[in-house]
Amino acid sequence: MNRPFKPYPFTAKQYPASLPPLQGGVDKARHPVVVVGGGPVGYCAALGLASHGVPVVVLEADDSVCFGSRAICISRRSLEIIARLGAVDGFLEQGLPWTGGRSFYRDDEVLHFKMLMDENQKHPPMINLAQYSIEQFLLDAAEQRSDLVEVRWQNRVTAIDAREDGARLTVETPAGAYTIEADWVVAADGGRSFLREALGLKLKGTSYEGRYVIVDILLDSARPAERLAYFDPPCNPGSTVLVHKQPSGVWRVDYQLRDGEDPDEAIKPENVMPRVESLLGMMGERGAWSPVWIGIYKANALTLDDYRHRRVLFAGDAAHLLPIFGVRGANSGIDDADNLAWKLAFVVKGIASQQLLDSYSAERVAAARENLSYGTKSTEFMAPPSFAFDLMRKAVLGLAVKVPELRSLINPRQSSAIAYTNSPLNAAAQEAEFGAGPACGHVLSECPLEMIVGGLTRAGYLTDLIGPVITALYFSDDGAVPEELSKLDAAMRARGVPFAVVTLASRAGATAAHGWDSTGRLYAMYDAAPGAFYLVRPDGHVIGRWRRFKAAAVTEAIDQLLQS
Amino acid sequence: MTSAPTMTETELDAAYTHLCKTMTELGEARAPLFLARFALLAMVRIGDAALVQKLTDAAAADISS
Repeated sequence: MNRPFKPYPFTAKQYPASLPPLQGGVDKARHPVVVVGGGPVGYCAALGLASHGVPVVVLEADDSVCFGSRAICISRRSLEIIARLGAVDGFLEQGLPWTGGRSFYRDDEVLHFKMLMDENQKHPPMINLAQYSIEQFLLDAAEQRSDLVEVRWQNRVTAIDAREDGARLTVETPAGAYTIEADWVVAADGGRSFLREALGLKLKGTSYEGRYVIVDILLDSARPAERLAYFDPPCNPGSTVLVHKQPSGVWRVDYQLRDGEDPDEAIKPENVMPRVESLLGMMGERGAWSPVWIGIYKANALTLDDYRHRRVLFAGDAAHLLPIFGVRGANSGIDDADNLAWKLAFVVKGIASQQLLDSYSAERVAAARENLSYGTKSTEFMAPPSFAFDLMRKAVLGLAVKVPELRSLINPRQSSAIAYTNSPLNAAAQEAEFGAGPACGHVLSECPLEMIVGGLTRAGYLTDLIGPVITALYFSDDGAVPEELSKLDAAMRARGVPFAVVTLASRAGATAAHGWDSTGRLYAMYDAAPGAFYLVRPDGHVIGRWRRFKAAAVTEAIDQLLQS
Repeated sequence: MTSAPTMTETELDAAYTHLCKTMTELGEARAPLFLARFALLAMVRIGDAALVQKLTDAAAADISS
């Protein structure tokens, strides 16, 4: 059976090579930050830095956004970050939201899982969007910030001299080679990171043997978007198949190779087409379909031990490789970029000491290890690494219909926001006195509210109130803040610390507040009586919280963060 | 089916993984004996003849290859 391939329903714009003004082969300007790699992570880092007013050069080796089937799932946490970066509209317009999935064993449905989706959420728990679109929307936002973000296409880094006070990069382009000096380098150059290689750094962890074939197809189908997993399906006995719907009629099919199957043979179209055909037949899909792309995937669970090497900061796949199962790859990279951007901006602007960047490594290495432990569990189920995992999986799948307690073992453990529980930036504060709400190190819990702007109210969400600053979230009764808080605000501004007091009110009519608890759920959710205070980082993680605002304790927490 | 003191999902997950890893280390040839020994240990710990019989029947029901 042979079906003609069709192209993706997306045309990537091609960009010419660009060279900066040179003096003796060297970029005339020395740059505070150079981001190596124009992928989702590189763009998020660049947009984050720009939101703090820091100029960035992005070096991208290719001449366009990516091609092929790569990241496809963007989590709620990532959407929250991208919203803060001002790039979320396209994601929400084009992405396909989904809230759960089904797993089947042979003919039986053995799990129907749902992710958190209640009336408090601004964003769906997950959307499906192809990586070329993810990159395009971020690139569009970067082009809007061309005052601070310069993207240089067809700029391939071929050497690095990493010093204590900066780095010199050698860049090759079709228009000639040059060198560029940077105070800081963000290495977002992907799974095969040249910078990681050049600095002699090694990823550590586990590589799995089980391989998956990844096929993108175009298919007419009204089936809703959800994660579908078929274990030992009648159409492909002994295999495991995953199916995801993407925008514009693209469907992603992943299936596991059988033991002993030759990967080179397996990805030949004549071997792929019958498998897809029989899968679609089993699913009852009768629409016309065409293949678009075929690739192969092998799970890795690897990370660097440290993401900071002198003035080079690793992020995304360059720093860690996570298994595909649980969709943590791009999402954890976007979280890396969000964590790094404000810290690097604070250091570049001289507001914080360089130690703040060590907390980037500490927090994100810990996050990677947590992601790896979930990803490893998912992989051990989706691609059993031994006869024992295979046998036990068969037992779980066979019993799960009758024994609901076993179904959690089938759950794919989708990516969710990670808490920096042991961060050096956390202030223990009055943690023990709160019975609910996000603890220090956690991200803010979402809640709808009425935003108050210039005396007018409009519907919004709590996270809409978080800007690229340290936010003092004050839970007031009627919008009035203590004089001590106004003094702290003035003192922080005088020191040049990006800081904002955001006042919430428990009742309507508080025109001095930024938002009021129109649903009556917010104060309870945060266990906040009037007077309560949350100190929040620019990335939305809680630094500390107090039953009542205490200027000295809050100042100490901020000082600790800046000098960390 | 009765299930007295329940494990959390995380605990069940950890127990499952520990069992899989232990069985992997013992090797495929010894896996049936390992599972038989585990069944016996669980049996005496359950300590309820009727329940053990019920579990045995449930494990055998609809078993496929």
